[in-house]
Formats: sequence, C-alpha cells, structure tokens
Amino acid sequence: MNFSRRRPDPVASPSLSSLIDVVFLLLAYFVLTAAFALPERSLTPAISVDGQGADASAEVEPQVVQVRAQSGQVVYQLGAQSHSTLDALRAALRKLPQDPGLVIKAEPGTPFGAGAGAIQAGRDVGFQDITWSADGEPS
Amino acid sequence: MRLGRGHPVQRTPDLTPMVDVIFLLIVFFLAAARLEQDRREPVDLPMQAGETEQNRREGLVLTLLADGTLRIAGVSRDIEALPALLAEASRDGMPSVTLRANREVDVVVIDRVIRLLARSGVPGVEMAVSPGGDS
Repeated sequence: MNFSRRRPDPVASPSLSSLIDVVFLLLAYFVLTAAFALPERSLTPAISVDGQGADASAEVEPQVVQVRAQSGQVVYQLGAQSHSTLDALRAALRKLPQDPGLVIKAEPGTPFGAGAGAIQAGRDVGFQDITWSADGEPS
Repeated sequence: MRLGRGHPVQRTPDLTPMVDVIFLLIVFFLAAARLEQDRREPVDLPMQAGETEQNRREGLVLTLLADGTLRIAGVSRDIEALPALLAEASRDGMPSVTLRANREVDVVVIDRVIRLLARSGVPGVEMAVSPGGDS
C-alpha cells in the first residue's frame, strides 16, 4: 500500500487579462455614449400668427420686446428703452408686471439666437405667458 | 536514446479571445443603437438654458441650417412643402414639432416656418436650444 501524500496543488492565480479587457471595454462604451449624448433643451413660447396669438383675448395689453439687429449689434427695445445685452433686458423685465405677459417680436434681419435670448430672458425673470410673434409679412 | 511517446496532453481552449469578441460585439451594437437614436444633424443652436428637456422620441424634428435650408430626417425640403408633409404626418394626429434652428438664421425664415406650421394646425413649436450661455 502506498500511503504517500499527494502534494497540494499549487494555488492557481486567476488570469486578470479578461477582467481588464472587460473593464476597459465598459469604460470605452461609457466614454463614447457620454460624448454622443448632446444636451439639448427647449424653449416653448406660445405662437402668434396673423394677429391671433395666445393672448389675443386678453384684456390687458401685453408688453412687447422688439428685437432687431443694428449694424451687427442686437438691440432689445422695451417701450422707449433700448438694451444691448440680455442682462440689461432681464433687469428691465424684472420691473414689469408679469400678468400681461410678454410678446417677442423680432424684426427681419435679426438672427434667431437673439430672439431665443429674449424668450429666455423672459422665462428667467418669471414670465409664464410669453408669445413669439410671427405676424410679419406673410409669405 | 529513447524517444518515448508520452500521452497527448488534452488542452482546453482559451476562452479569452471569444469573451473579448463577444464584448466588442455588445459594445458595437449598444453604441450603434445609441447613435441611431441621437442621429441629428449638428446645428449651432442658440446658447440658452431653455425651459424643458426635449422630447427626443416623438414628433417631427425640423432642422434649419444657417443658410435657411430646411432639413427633415436628413433630407433637404422646400419650406413651402411643409403643409403637405404635415398633412401626411398628421394622419394619426398632429405631431409635436421641434424646431432646431441655427442661431444665425434670419428670423424671417423662422417666422415663415412658424406661419406654415400654425396654418397646418400645429398648436405649438418647441424651439431647441443648447445650454451653455447667452448668445
């Protein structure tokens, strides 16, 4: 009878290559998807067309912000006041009552970004009722 | 000298390359699905904070490039053809409309699109903006 003791198996160390592969692949996936996820948001003004806007039946006269481009500079006209920056427009809008709402009218030649800025300024100071006026020359 | 033949060693196949390939395929399909979902034309949107998150899964997305070209699903369209397109798209109800317009587009073009949308029965338009500052 042979009672010789078997030698214990050497401790097998697990191969880490697969684990590292998987970790790097997951890392690559999340990096890629994070880069592709473009954060877009929306502005949702009411629309006024042919003089029929969201507040056409309102009894109070809405306050109008005229947006126009003068020699490459955007001007926001609020009544008799002209403002050249959105911060100045926000400061002026804060002094106005919000119940009558706000109408944004952009003149031809004005870049859309300036009009969107006026909508944003109105929202920033708390106007709920903002209307984009597309009452210009009909096409 | 004796060259004895030993017993052939039974080797188990290395599974590492197969696991690698499977994970690569999974990543590929996931990334491809994500790209398909986000496949929108790059547009320099107005840099504003916006009000709401965009509903990216439903509705009609109109893209206006800097030169005033209207593109829908990657195809250039005549702006005047919008009512006909909307009539076709609204068989199952009027879709919500997202307007992705370049920030330099003249508002004349924006107003023209909005008038056509309104006359086609679209109640409102979401204007896409890109958070990042005032412009």
